[in-house]
This record gives sequence, structure tokens and C-alpha cells, in this order.
Amino acid sequence: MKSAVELAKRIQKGELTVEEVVEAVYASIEEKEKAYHCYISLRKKEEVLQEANLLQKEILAGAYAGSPIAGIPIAIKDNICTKGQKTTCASKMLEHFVPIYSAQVVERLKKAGAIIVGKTNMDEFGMGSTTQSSYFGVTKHPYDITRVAGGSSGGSAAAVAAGECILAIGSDTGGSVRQPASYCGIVGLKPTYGTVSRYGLIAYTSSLEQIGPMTATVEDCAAALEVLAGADEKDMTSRRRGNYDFTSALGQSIAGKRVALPKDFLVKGVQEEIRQAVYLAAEQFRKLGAVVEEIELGMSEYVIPVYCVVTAAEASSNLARFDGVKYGYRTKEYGTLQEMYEKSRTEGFGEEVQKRILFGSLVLSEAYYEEYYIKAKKLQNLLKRTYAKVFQAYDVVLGPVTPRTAPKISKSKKDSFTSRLEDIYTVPANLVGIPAISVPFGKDKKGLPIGVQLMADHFQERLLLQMAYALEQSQGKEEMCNETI
Amino acid sequence: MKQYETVIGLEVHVELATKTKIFCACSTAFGGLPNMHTCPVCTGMPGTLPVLNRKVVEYAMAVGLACGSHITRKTIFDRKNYFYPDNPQNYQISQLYAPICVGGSVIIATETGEKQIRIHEMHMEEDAGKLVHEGENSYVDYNRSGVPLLEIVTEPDFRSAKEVITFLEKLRLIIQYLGASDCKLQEGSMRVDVNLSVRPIGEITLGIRTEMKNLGSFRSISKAVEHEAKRQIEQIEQGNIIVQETRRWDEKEECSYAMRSKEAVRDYRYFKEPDVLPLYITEEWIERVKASQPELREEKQKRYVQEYDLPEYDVEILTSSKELADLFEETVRLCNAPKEVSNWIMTETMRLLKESGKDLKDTKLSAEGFASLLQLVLEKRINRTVAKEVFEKMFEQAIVPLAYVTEQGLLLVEQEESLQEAVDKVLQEFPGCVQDYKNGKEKIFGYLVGQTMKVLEGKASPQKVQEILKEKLNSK
Amino acid sequence: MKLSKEQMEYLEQMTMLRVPEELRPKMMEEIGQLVEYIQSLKFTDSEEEEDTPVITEEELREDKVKKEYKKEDIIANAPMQREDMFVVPKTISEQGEEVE
Repeated sequence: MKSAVELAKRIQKGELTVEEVVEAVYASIEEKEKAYHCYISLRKKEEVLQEANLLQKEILAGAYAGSPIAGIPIAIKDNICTKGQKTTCASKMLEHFVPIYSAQVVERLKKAGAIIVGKTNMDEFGMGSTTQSSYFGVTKHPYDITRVAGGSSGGSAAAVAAGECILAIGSDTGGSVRQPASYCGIVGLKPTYGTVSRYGLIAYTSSLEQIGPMTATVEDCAAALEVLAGADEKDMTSRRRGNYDFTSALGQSIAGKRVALPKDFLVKGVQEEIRQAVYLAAEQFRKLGAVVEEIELGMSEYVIPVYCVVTAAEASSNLARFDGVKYGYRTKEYGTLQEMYEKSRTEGFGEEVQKRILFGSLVLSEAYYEEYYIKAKKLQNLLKRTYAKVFQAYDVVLGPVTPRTAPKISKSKKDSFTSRLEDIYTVPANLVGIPAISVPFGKDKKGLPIGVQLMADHFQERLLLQMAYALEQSQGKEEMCNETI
Repeated sequence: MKQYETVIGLEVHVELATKTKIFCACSTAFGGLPNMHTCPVCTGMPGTLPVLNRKVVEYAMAVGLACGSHITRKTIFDRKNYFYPDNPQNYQISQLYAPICVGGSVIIATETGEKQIRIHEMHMEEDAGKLVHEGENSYVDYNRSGVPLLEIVTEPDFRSAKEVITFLEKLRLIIQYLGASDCKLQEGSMRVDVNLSVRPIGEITLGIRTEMKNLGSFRSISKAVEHEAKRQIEQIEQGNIIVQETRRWDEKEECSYAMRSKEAVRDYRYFKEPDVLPLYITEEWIERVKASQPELREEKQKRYVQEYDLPEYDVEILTSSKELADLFEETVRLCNAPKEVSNWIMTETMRLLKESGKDLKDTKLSAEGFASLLQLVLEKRINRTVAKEVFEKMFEQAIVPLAYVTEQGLLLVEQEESLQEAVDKVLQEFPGCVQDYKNGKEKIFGYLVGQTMKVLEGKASPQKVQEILKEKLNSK
Repeated sequence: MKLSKEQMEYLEQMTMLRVPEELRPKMMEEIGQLVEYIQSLKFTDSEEEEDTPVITEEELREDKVKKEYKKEDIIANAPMQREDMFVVPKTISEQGEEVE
């Protein structure tokens, strides 16, 4: 893995050309894509090289002087619309869907001189954490192809780790950026809700999800966030924030910063090496002058049920628009309108998606709305207050990203959100709306990457990245796998 | 047979008169080729998001304030989920739990005096697209999808079709005066659903109600109310139970029938729209909307009586539509003759509108033209008969009155000289009459005036002719 | 909770899904498990009122027409189209009634 920021600097200086970077990325793709399956669709190399050539001239002419990622080949999760380029959500439903508009983030990335290489694999409509529910097949872990790369932004994480792109964009509804980042040994950030425009992100759970960068380093992550963040007149939930500087605090002393370490995050079911990594991270923070205190967070038993109810409810409504009328899959044989609807949707959606739609409709139905949906929303609010209290006393919350490192690809494809507690550490940031980052921090005995998570209060990305950077730098240069360039 | 009472509540949808749709910048213009006024947002494409139009909120507030409603300080949008092809997202963004306007009322005049019709609430929502049916298929056009609607829900305060119509006429005027909608039933910019039940007089609990849709005119509403009340009473008298259902009014057959035989799933799974955050309405904003509220009918009526000293009957007619009132005021501003303008509107304008069956805005009549025509009349440069003809012409064509009457030779002869000449000519021609007049036969004066007018081909002011004639006769 | 056949049909009707027969038992069981799962946690009745952010007047859109898309592009992804309209099976019966 190479740092995007470093490469971009060398390109700006004329030490390296955009074509050379693109060539190197395509070399990796040609070598590894067959084995890992990071992408759902890839742009033709010739076409990308042409773009690179043009961009190279513009960069040297000073057109992208302020951009930290000009000339960098990037990958976009396939639930983010790209005008004129297929956007499938890894679903049969949208197998041939070509949007006539681009997501706001795509526009911003292009304006910053990034080059889109392709669209990455994911769980169907983002519903899963292994990419096993993708209609186009599973993405494999670049360290061990018998394992998953995580999900739902698994393709993006694997592509960065494998050097099949320099930087990737994912979306995070309950940990979909941070968890695969952690599995694959890269950095993944979910920004504060409203920081990045959702226009063009095909909605799964509108009230929880944010688009976020997936990068080799914390510095890349901060730089990419500066490109992505911004209020958007096309997204009413995007917020204008006071500060868009995420990079200037990187490397500044963290002495005196207050770190909370919730004990309840480390009790049951956490892989031993991950527990150790978190304590080691705490130790590093102390060495750097920060104050680390163990706290009791509580509420953790509610996190997943609340998440299940809220996501399924919104998904059942968000996915109603896929009906075979305006775009997407339509069944071949039908008589009545109802038959057309039912067959198109049942044939077009995978099993997991259908289950969440059905369950989501149940919790919103007259009979259960008050009992489940309203109660879940109230508990979500209670959780927000709990975290608000924590952030009155602490700058960041430290903990694991996942209870275990990347699991094996399962034959049954079972990835139900019923009994699993895999998302227990990542989901709170979505329910509360706060920023959270996954930082690679060592490996387990099998050599699989471990990530630790830092969360900060609303709009405290600058501080969060400062802390993440300190943690990253404290490790010395980790040996990265799959050096490509 | 028992005596029954009809209980009616209304749900009135009006299309708000914004330039763009409620959640995207597409035009709300009527007509146009299919899907011409659409974009990814109003066709429900994935990844797109709604962005609320400020003007929609302001119109909704204006209507609410005019009816004395409470404006909800934190108003919230909800999703109403149901599948239908005219609804591109398969959910409609509407308001259920915290609608923009709550309460309020409209006072109507009835035979037994004034009556208050209470407003339950008013909420903003998006309209659906249009379906065209042909052969085995239906075709979807989303030009109307996302056009802003304000739904006004009343309490069940009506007891007769007449009350319903009186209310609707008044509500329509309020909304038209505000400029919030043109409220045309025929074109669907005002749609009325009638909820109706009957109960024996003296009974307190409400009967089971039906909902009636597809009411395209005040006449249909009136007919439908009477018909449905009769139907329900007959059912009850026969010992049947009223089924709670939606009925469709058939304008041609003048009867209604149930729209759905089997009750389909009607579980809309409302929940708060996550893409539109709750809107906080400040006191200051409400005050601003209040301040910019145009003068409403009742205020106008009071002012006309005070300022122009017009009789109440005139005022009633002049304010019967916003367009008429606007025409009146603008014309008065230009020619400063309120009573004259009023008379012309009450007689000629109303007559021509009635005869042509047109709306004022579909005619060519302008305040400028109207005022300059009246100016000619007041200056006695044309007579009233000519003026009426010209006025009729002005309905059809955009003509400039002075240019027109000059061209057509309809101006009254003004030069003193020509009048003198004509009078002299007549006096010479009828010396006998002059003598008779001198001998005290004053009736002959009228004859001489007539003869002079004849010479002048009627293009002179009779008063002026009389003046000159009298002068000449007395000096002889 | 065990999902009844009627409940399952009700959910399918609302969502326009028709789960294939061979998949139904499994699907019903898993949805039942989900309901059980959220039930078992005995959601305490919290009186917390939601405090989501709000928007204000300034953040709303101005009422200004913007024409950005051609109708041909709007229908470009339609599985079935005619004369720039989306085509669906007929939605009204012979009597002019809406069919669901």
C-alpha cells in the first residue's frame, strides 16, 4: 500500500506521472483481481490512461494545486451513483442500472483530480458484513483468500489493501466502512452524520449512513475527508460545519487529551489478541501524555436490537422504489400489475434483503409500530444522551472495531443480523451520529490485521484524526503487505 | 320514519401555486410533453434526495394564518408507504404527526345565521403522477409528481350540502386572495373528498362514514352529498349496516359506487421522513408571513365601504373574486372614479363574464384600457352607448379605447364651432318652432334638440347641445 | 414469536414480495427469530423525546425553476417505455375502478 498523499505530492512535483500510477494500479488489478474480486465493474485501462494523460497536463499546469489527491486512482463502492457508469448495489435488481447523475461525492472527487478506476463489491444494498450477499460473488481477503474481507464495503477495503486502487470510498450504516477496514488492515472513517452529502448514495438506512474514506494511512484519510466533506444543497441532512480543516492537527501533541476506555467493550466474546491490542493502544496514548480512564458505558445490550429495528424499518421503505417500473429488473412474465411488482421484487432481491424488508414492514405496521419502532427510537435517543455525557468528560472513546479478526468464508452464506454481535462496537457511532475511525493496530497470531476504534463527539473529526494519527505513528512503520508501487 | 341528520367532514387538497415542485426544482407548469417536467428526484431514482421548497411552507403558513390556525413550530414530514405506479418512490412524503397548521376555523353564513366550521389540521404533501390507460397497459407520466399540495382537513361540522358549498366557496376565495392556489376544481388544482355519515336526530355518536372521491365541481359535490345521505338513510331504514368504504362519484350517472370490493391492506406504515429533517419555524418567520399577507376579502370589503363610500351590495360583488377586486382597485387608481368603475363592473363586466362563461383572466380586459375608456366617458367625449360597444370589444381584443374610437369616428363632436353651426342650421330650418317656443310652448325644445343631434349624427353630448340651443333661443 | 401464515401474507402484501414456497418456512422462522430477539430485550419504556437536529428557513430551497434533465434520459433506464412514458400493466378494470 502506498499513501495517496505521498503519491500526489510526487505527482505535483513532477517526480511521477499520473499514467505511471495508473499503470501500477492496473498491474495489481491484472495480477490479483481474479483472486480477490474487489470490483463489480472496472473501467477500461485505455480509457483511464487517456484521462490520466489529460489530468497529468492539467496538474503540471497548476490546475489542481490545492488538491491532496490529484492524479490518484480511486475506487467507489457500487452503491454510490456514477453518471454513465453502472451502479448495481451488488443486486440483480440493479444489474444494468446506469445512473444519469453522479453522487455529490463523486463530483467532489473528480473536481479534486481523482481518477475513478471502478466500482467495488459489497453486500447487496449494504445489508451484511461479509460481501457474501453480493449478487456478483464474495470478495476475498487479500491476506487469506479463504476469508472474507468484511462488509458491506468489503470490495473497497480489499482493493486498497491489495493495491488495486490507492484510496477507496465506502459507506457506513452500522460499521460498513470501519469493519472491513479493520479486517484488511487499512484506515476507515465514518464521519459525523451530515458531514458528507448522501446525494447519490443509494439509501439503505437514511438516518444512519454516511460515506467515508478508506485509506492506507490516517493522513490520507484526513486529506480525503477534506475533499468529501461539505454541505450540499441537494441533501437537506447535510450540515454546514464551522471547520473543514482535518489535517493541520496531525502530528500535534496529544498530551492532556482524555481517552475513555469502556470496560463493557472488553468483557465477553472478544478475541484475546484484540483485547490486548486495545490495552496496548491505551498504553501508547498514556506514553504520549494522554489520560486514559476506564469507564462503564452501559446500554450495550440495546444497541443491536435498536439497530435492527431502525435499519429494517427504513430499508423497507427505501427499497420500495425498486418495482420494475422506472429502472432496474422487471420479471419476464406477468399479467397484472401486482404480479409484475411481486415477481420483479422477489426475483430481483436476494434473500437477506427480502427478509429485512419484510421485518422492517412488520415493525412499522399498525400493530407493532408503537411497541417496536417508537421504543427503538426512544432508546436510540437514550443512547445519544449516554454518549453526550461521555463526551462531556472525554475527548475520545477507545475500543475494538470488531470482536474478532476476519472470519472464514462460510458455505451457508449465512449472515443474518439476528444472533450476531459483530457490529456491537461500530453501530453506536451510527445510532448516535458521531464520527468514528478504525486504525490498524497490529495483527493476530494468524497474521490477520487488527483494528482499534476511536470515536469522538459530533463534528470533532479534527481531534479524532489527530488522536488516530498519534496512535498510528506510535507503532513504527508496520510492514505492509502487497507493496505494489 | 325517523328524522335523520347528515354529518359531513371534508378533506380539501389544493395545489399550491409555486413555480417549482415541493422537493425538486422542476417546473409545476401544466401540460407539456410526458415526463418533460421531471428529474431524478421526482421520478424516484435511487440515491436522490428531497429538498424542501421554502415557498410551499410559506403558502401553507399563509392559508393557516388566514384561517386562524396554530402554526406548528417544529413541523415534521412523514412517509406514507403504499405501492402504486403513479407514486415513483412507492411512498408519499406527507405529514401525519406534526402537520404545519393545527386548528383554526372558517365562519360561513347560513340561513340561521353565522356558523363556525372548525379546521382540524392542514398538512403539506406531494402530488402523484398521471396514468394514461390504453389497451392492456397504463402509461406513467411524472410531470405532476411532486407538485405541492396542501391538504385541509375539517372537523365534521357540516350538516347540509349547502353548508359544504358555502364553506368551499369561502375557502377558495381565501386561498385565491392569498395567491396560494388558483383552486380550480375542473383542472384538479382543488380536490374535495367528502366524509359523510348519518344519524338519527338527537343521537350523539357518529354513524359509520363513507368517503367520496372524484368530485369535479361544486354541483357534483352538492349532488353527491344529497345522494349519499339518502342512500345511507335508506340502507339504515332497510336494516342494513353502512360499510366504511371509499366511493367514487360518477358525474354522468349521478350516482356513486364502492371503489374497492375487497378491503385491501391499508397499513401505510407511516414513519418520520429521515431525508427531510424537522423544520423549525421561528416566531419571526411567522410574523413576516403575516405582515406580507395580502388584504383578504373581509378587510377589503370594509375598506371599500369606508374609502370609496360604496354600498355593501356593490362591495360584495366587487370582491367576489380576487381578480375582480384587483381590476377594480387598479382601474380606480388610474381614473379615480370608484362609483363609476363599480357600476361598470357590476353591470357590464358581470354581464359579459356570464354570457361568455369566461374567467376574467381569460379576457383581454385590462385596468389601463378600462380606465381610459371611463376617462372618455367622464370627459363626455363618447356617449354611453358607444362606450358599451367599445367595452364589449375590449373583452375580445386588446384595443386602445381612444385610438379605436377616433379611428371608428365615434368621438363626440367637441368643437364649439361645429355645435354652433348645427344649432344655427336647425334654427334656420325650423323658424316656426322657434316662434312656438318663444310663445311659451317649451315642449318644443326637446324636438329642436333631437333635430340638432340628428344633424350631428348623434356624436355630440346632448347636454352641450341643450346649453347652446337654450342660449341661442333666449338671445333671439 | 412464531410468525403465522396470515402474518406472513400480510407482510408480503405490504411489501409486494412473494417468497417462493420452498423458502417460506425458513424465512418465516428467521423473521420470527428477529421479532423474538427484539422482544427478549424488553425495551424499557423510556420517555425520552427525540432530539434530532432541525433545519431552519435559510436551509430551504428557493422557488426557482431549474431544468437539468431531458425526458429521454429520465426514461432511459425503464424496462418498458413508450412515447417517453413508463409502461405498466393496466391499473384500472373495465369499470374504471382502480385495481391494486
